[in-house]
Amino acid sequence: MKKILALLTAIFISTASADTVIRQIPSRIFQPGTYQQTSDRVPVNSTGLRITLTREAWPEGSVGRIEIWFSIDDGLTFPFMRFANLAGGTAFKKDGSVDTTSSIEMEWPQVATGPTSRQVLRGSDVKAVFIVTQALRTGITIETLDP
Amino acid sequence: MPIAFVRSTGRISGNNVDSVGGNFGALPAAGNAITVETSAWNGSNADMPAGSVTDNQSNTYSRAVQSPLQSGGVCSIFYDESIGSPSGTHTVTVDPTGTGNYLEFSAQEWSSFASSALDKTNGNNAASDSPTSGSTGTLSQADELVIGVVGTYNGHSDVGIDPPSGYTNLSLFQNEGSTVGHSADYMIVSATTAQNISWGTVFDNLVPWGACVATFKAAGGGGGGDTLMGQACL
Repeated sequence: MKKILALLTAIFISTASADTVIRQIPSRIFQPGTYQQTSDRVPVNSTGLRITLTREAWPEGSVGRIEIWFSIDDGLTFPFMRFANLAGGTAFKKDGSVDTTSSIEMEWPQVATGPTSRQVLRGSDVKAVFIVTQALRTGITIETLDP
Repeated sequence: MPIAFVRSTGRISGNNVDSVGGNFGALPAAGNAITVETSAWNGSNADMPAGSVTDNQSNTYSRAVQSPLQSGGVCSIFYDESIGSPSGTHTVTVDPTGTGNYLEFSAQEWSSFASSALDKTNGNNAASDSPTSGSTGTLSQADELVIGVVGTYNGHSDVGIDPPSGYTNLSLFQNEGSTVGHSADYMIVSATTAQNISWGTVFDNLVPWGACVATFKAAGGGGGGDTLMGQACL
């Protein structure tokens, strides 16, 4: 019975979240510098990518930047980019609680294939870049956005 | 010549960030227009004053309209009606006041904007289940581009924004718990009829929202309906 319950729980948990964690970097101190992660192929059934950082007593002021780059030619060029500049200090959610994470998302771009049609490109190369300007502690989660 | 959509950056978003940006997948053409539609919220009352939208090509974006502040959130439309000659990668950045920002935006390239293209605007806000832009009033000429934006600032994972009937959606995000609810939509019109954009019925009648609309004149758009009718009578 316990095994059945555990199985049901696992199924529930796996279906309750629509997105898939593909890389998790445990919390540690990042010194100023540039950190990069490249994936040869993003899952073909995903619609985008989310990068989430935990904010662990980040210092005030600008602390860095996260970027997501997307290639449509097997990594030769990365013409599509999203970025977020990050600042330390305390930020609050709409319910008034302290928000302990920051994140950005990139939906896979729709590329023109004719005068009126566009298609979503999937299964292409993607890279994530984390630029740190002040030493900070964070954990990083990279997830695909799933339909 | 009617205004025509050329390309979009697609949806760009940030959760608890200082600013966000993204690029066009291909370079916009010199002389074309770029519009930027934003929805933003932060705990210290978001604002998108002049200078909040920039790019890496030294273009200057004017704010066409911003909705009145509603529960810490605003939406806005910025534009540059004739960009310079871009090179490299064309990146647009949105930086509301404050640092803990939750925002959504997208940028579009358009052809055939008139000089001094901005025509009518309106901003609206409330806490209700029926976000609307409010009326633009009669447009100055028949051929115009109408852009509307709505932002919602609550915590629903699916706030239920309906892209407005007859409009083409540019960017849609329903999870206001993650960033903000957001829809940006456009229609190219060929009559001077006043526009009042409705985004349907959202989650409940307590949803705080801001909405705005801006219209832009096409180059060589001629006069309004009365003028055309007068010409027909000659």
